[in-house]
Amino acid sequence: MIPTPDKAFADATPAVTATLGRRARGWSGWVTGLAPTDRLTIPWAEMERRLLEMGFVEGARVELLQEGPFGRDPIAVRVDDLTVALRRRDADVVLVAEG
Amino acid sequence: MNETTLVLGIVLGATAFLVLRYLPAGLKARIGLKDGSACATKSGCGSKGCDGCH
Amino acid sequence: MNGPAAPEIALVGCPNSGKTSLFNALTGSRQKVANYAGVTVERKEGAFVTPAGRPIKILDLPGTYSLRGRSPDEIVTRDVVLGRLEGEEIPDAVVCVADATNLRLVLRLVLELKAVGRPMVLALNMMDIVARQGGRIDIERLSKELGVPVVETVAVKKGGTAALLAAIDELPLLEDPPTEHGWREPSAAEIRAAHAEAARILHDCAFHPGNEQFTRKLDRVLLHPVFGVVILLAVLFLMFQAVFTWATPAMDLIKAGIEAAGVAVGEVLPDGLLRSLIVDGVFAGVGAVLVFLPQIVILFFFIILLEDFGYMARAAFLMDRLMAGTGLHGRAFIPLLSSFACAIPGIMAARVIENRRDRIATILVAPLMTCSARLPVYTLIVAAFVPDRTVFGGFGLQGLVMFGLFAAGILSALAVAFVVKKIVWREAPEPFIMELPDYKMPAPANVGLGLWIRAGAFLRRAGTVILALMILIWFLSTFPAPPDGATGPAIDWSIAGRIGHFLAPLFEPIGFNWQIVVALIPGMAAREVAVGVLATVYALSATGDEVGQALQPILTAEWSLPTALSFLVWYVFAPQCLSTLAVVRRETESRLWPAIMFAYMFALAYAASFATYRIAGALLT
Repeated sequence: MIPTPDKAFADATPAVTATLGRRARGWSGWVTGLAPTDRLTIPWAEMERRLLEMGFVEGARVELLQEGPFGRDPIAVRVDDLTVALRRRDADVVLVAEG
Repeated sequence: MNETTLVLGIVLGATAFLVLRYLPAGLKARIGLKDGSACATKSGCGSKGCDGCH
Repeated sequence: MNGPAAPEIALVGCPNSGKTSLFNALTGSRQKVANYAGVTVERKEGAFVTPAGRPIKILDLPGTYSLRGRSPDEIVTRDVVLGRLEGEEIPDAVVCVADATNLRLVLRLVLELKAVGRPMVLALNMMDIVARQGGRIDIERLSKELGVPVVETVAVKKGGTAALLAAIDELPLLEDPPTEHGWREPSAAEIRAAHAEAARILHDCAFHPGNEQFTRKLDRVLLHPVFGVVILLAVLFLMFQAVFTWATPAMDLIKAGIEAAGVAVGEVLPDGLLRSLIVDGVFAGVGAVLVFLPQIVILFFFIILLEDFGYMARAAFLMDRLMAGTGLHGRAFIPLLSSFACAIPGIMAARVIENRRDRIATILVAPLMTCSARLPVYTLIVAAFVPDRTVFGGFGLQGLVMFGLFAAGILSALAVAFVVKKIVWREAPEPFIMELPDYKMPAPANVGLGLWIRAGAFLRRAGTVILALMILIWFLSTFPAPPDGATGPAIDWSIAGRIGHFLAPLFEPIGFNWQIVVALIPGMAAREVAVGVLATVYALSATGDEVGQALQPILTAEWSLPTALSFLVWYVFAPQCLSTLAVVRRETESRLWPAIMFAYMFALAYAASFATYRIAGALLT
């Protein structure tokens, strides 16, 4: 189903905002923002836009479906209606809240 | 045409074909042959311009 | 200026949208493939005629998620649409292709394309799947919300493009398309806004239960850390087993047919040069290669099936940590897997990698992982030397060995990439973000078309390059003729024979006899030719009773097991065919890299063959 930007999200205050990269399999919640960082090998502006293009916008429902066989990396994540694979290192810039 | 001529003709034809095919791109451009750079994605593979694939 | 010439349409869309199927459906065989000026990106142009009788040119642009242009091919898409690519006409119209089962991302792309300002049509492809899954899309409302005409297409079915063709006829194609466009590189905020807008439109216009449940459930197994890997290995093994066993009846048929033809021709022609050329050169040589057509078809059957189903992305996911550990890029893995049969598409697909060093590292190791030209060589040796038994309760030994050989190739690719990335160039890996498409039932038409193209390519190659090579080899192996009164096989006096004997000492430490050495050289042009050359060389060496024997038993009789194993291992690492080196030169825009590739692969092959020969020799005596 295609969800609308959650009205509940707009009203709620996220209990704990941590990063998607730290979540475990089966976790679900939504995206609260993207955290700028210099750690990556590409400019932050570029990374931010890539993530946005793949659907990691604020309010998007996110669910961690699977983990990779070696070192629980990469992760397969359901972002609204799309399944995306990304490395935990990259997922660390996605701020999320449980819910 | 005797047998030897026929055979040698075939061999020469085959050689010419291979030479033209593997000629470095620069020389090809000068002679005016098309650059057969059709090998790309799977869809291009096997098309007329690309037989580097199988 | 497009004036009286046929109007040109740019075909744009996200990856996985069925864009290429649509392009094929529209243009049929009227396609031209070349390169864009100054860039190593494929340019695919086709032509078709609309129902109203208008001739149209259409350009299949590289798939992209947005017009921003991150990698060389996405930049081409952007520049062509904006009309600012050197040497390219400004497109008169844009057709955006979308996967109707997955509209969210592409709707944002549509909004971007609208900003450019060209006449546009949105084609919702794969509508049959939407219907099958119980989804609904309000086309009229969608069209109103987006402000562009929207049509349904089913690229893989006959008549599935009718609506699109009609829509194209109704486009206001101007004589002179404007050079200005309304597009600016969007900021992050603008992307967010576009995203929200696209989501809203989608929610209002479409209802789609999606394949989500099925995909989730299946991914729970296929992406499972343990079962997933096991299944991946099982799938790969099954593939090789199938390639080896299922193909056998067909291969035997072809073999028998060629032999019969050879004998028939041999009886008709008088003894002499022509007869030798045709029987020993063409029939023996080309025939030895043709025999492998069934194997190629089966291999590609699996590859295309897995790809259309959506499994390849899962394979990339499972292998990513290994790949990342060696510095290889996740985005390159799918092309590498998909082009499992030929390194060239894999090398060209490396263009999606923006980091130049990552790209070169991937290009350097791609040939180790992929090349179906190895198949004939592997098959020949394995069939001749590995007993046809089952081990470990049901695994065919021959299939197992084949699998092992390909696995060795992949592992060596990872090892080399590791060395290159960690020791030669130390860099953190690029971010890896990849879409895992929902699983889809492969369309038989698509699979069939893919196989047809591949089989055709194989036959064409056999009938042209390989045929020419075998004729040349025959010539070099027959002339000059031995002097009168000479003993021993005539081939020893020929050019090829002399070269073989001359170079043989170089290869003696790894157990190669001079016939193998002769086969290696034309193997540079086409690796599977080595099999053909061996056939011809041995055919021409035969005297008396041995004449006319098939190659395989000859090898079993004449080669030692260590030599056979050494030859196998050589082929795992063997230096590339000329076509691949040429492609590498073009993609890296330098002569250095193909030279390095050739050198390191030669060194690896020699070292590995040496080790194999010595160890096998020691173990077996």
